[in-house]
Amino acid sequence: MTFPQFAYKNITRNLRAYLAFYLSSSFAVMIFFMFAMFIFHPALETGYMNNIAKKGMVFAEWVIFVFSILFVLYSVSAFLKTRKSEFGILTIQGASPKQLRLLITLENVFIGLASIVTGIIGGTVLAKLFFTAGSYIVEMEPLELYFPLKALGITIGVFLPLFVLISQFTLFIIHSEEVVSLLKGSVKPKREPKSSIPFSILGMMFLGGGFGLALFAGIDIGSAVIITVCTVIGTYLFYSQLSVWVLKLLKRNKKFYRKGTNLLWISDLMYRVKDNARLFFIVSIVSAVAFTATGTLATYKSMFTTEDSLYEMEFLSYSSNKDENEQLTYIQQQFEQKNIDYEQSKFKVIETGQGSSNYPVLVLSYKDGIKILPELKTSKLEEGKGVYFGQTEREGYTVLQDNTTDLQLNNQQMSIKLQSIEQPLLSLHDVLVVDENTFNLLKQGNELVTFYAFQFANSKENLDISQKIHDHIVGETYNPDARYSSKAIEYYQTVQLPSLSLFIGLFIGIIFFLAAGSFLYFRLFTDLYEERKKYKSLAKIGLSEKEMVKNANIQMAILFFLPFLLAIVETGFALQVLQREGGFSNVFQSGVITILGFLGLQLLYFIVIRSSYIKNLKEYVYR
Amino acid sequence: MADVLQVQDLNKIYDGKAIFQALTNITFNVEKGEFIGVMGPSGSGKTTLLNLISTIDRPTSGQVIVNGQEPHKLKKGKLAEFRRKELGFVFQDFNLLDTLTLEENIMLPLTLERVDSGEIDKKVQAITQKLGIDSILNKRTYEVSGGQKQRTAIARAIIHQPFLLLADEPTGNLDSKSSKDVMQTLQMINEKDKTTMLMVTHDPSAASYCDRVIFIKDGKLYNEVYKGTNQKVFFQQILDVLSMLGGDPDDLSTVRL
Repeated sequence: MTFPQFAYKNITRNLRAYLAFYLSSSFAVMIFFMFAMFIFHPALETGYMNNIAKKGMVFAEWVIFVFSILFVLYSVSAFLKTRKSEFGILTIQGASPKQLRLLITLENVFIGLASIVTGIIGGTVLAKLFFTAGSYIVEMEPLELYFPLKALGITIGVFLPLFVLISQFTLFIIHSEEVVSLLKGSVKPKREPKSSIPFSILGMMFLGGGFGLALFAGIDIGSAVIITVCTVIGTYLFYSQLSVWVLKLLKRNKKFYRKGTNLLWISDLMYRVKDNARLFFIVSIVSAVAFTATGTLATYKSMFTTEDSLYEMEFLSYSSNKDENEQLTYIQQQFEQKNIDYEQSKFKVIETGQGSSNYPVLVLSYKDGIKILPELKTSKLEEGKGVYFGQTEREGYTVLQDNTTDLQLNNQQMSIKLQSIEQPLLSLHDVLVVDENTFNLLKQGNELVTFYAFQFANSKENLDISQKIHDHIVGETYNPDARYSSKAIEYYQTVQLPSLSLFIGLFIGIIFFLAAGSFLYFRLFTDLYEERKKYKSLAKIGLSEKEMVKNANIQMAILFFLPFLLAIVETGFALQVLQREGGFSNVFQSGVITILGFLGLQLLYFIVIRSSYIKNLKEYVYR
Repeated sequence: MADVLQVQDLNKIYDGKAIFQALTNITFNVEKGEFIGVMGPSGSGKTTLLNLISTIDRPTSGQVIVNGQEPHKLKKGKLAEFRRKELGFVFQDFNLLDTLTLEENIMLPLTLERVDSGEIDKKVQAITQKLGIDSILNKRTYEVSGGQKQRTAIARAIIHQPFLLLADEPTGNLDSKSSKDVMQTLQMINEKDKTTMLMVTHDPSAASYCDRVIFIKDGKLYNEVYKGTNQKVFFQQILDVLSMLGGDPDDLSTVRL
């Protein structure tokens, strides 16, 4: 038997012991890979996403990686704890430290490779599933599955060294202990945690400071970093220090502490404060990131309302525009190349501003108005009055007051009473229809512009030519001489892009949620063996099945929902900042919906895990 | 005196690939206040017998009657209540919870019963003084010796004044000095409180504290010995039976008197 064979047999013949470690590693790889696959997706590479969103996602990927490290470390130390006595035996048999290192490194590499393969396969399957399901939810074309060379490279390149490094790290744990304590293994019980008053106060201060800053401070990059750091440190101290105080208070209340199973779960929580603190901390932060990301990205979905135009494309040319004819020909060429039957209309209109904010409006004569909207004929336009097509409120302020519009005319204002206000006609501007006399009056002091409108079928499919025309006329940013608008682009920006960002938000949310869920899961099931033993001996002295279930329920509920609650609070503050400073006006609404959604998921997850956990306990303890 | 424990025609067969009859037609009675020992070589069925009496395991046939009740006919919930109220347990590996202090370990059965906190304090105080562990109540399990742990476990087992105290190798993990302490503690409880006890043990010196010792071999009753007036004579009698029983000489731990 060679040494690698020994390592291999160690794993394959004791699969159960390695299973939790292997599964948790696979899970970490899977999540990382799925996300990498998403970031490097060709559909997202080509222009859909702006740079900031992209950077945010790369940042999220590294967050995932950092938590993967913590996660793998956590499971590796739990795993080694169960094997300490084995290392003790090997040492007694004369295995040198070098050989032990080789053994552990080999084992880790075997398991690492296996979990990388599993994670990548699982990630691919799950990604496909999610791309399909997600696109169904947000009503967009499903993202295609592609061959993710980059994602593969990064995943393997990042995780293989991690497994090798972690195995070196675990050796420190083993070398630092005497053979005797290795042989005794995990029997050695932990000491009761001590909490320090200064640290507890510090924790309160950090948490309070972070939340306070989030409420009142002006937000720039510096303060955002400070808030994040404060909250992160505060969260950790909250779990490692403050929780001890709360538990001590509970213990001091003898009436409560000494009732039924309270004694059991309170002392158990106290005993495991250190383990729990790390876990709760990770889960809280990860969940808060998930909720905030999803909540924010989900706002795009509800932020825009489509403004329906009568025309598929609108082209507005000012008198200063020298290229008007060339641009018009370009548009017509595009239609001909695509064999699109179109109808073109041309109007001379007045562009002017209204009110104190100089909000632009296109003024149309009644004669042309009837051409656009024949229904105008039925409602007779009174002399000196106008019909307005647009919205009275825009981005928070009122455009029209008292059914009157004040139009700019030779640096003076001309008030026109509005006969009625109708739904918007065009997407470029609001429209005002007035009688010929008023039109002529306005003509004197304002610029006359040419308005072209195009109608054709199948607007939403013509994003590419719309984009081409847009680039040709408007260019990258702005053309002072001409305006252009297209339903296809509008639809993309108001429906598809928000859908895409909602989809990304969901994806990030689900990934982080899965990560948090898997932390909880593996925590529960690595402890299961000890818990079973504990309950079995308690059963002997008369703990009933009902009491056991109740106790396990309380412990699990705390595990599942305490970090969740803190994550909700943190998300609330984060969303508050975004609403105040980031210009996301209705971020709270989508935040609440997001959190409710996640709460539902968490509940479902809790119910499923709880039932299998309790079933396992019952079978072992009460047969 | 009334019999606290009646064991009648008890059989236990383990199913599986190789069917194994662990106990065959075991019958004996234990009177109120009696301290009875069960001995036998490894694999003789001692622990199986204890598990059946303690209701942790179910017999294939036969009856166990504790204080007039048949616990094996009780429903699950009632069974836990029965164990909690009528039985007390002392284990070889103590079965104390690391998460609790010694005091909390002792009061655990009472808190499960939802006894008033003040009354708990009184009972804990009384019992720990009696057992000489009242000075270490706030310590944790890893801070005290094996003997102290076992006395804590005994305190937990008797704090609710059970009808029957069951002990499974209570000295198995202890050195001779601690074993002696623990056995004297058990004997004192037996004499003062008239608590009925049944103890399974390997250790002839521990068994010599009993009133009567039942020997089991290959799942059958083999012999029984009553204590006269002298513990040393009783100890010698036990050794004699054990040597007749045969079995593994390692089972007889070195003489500890």
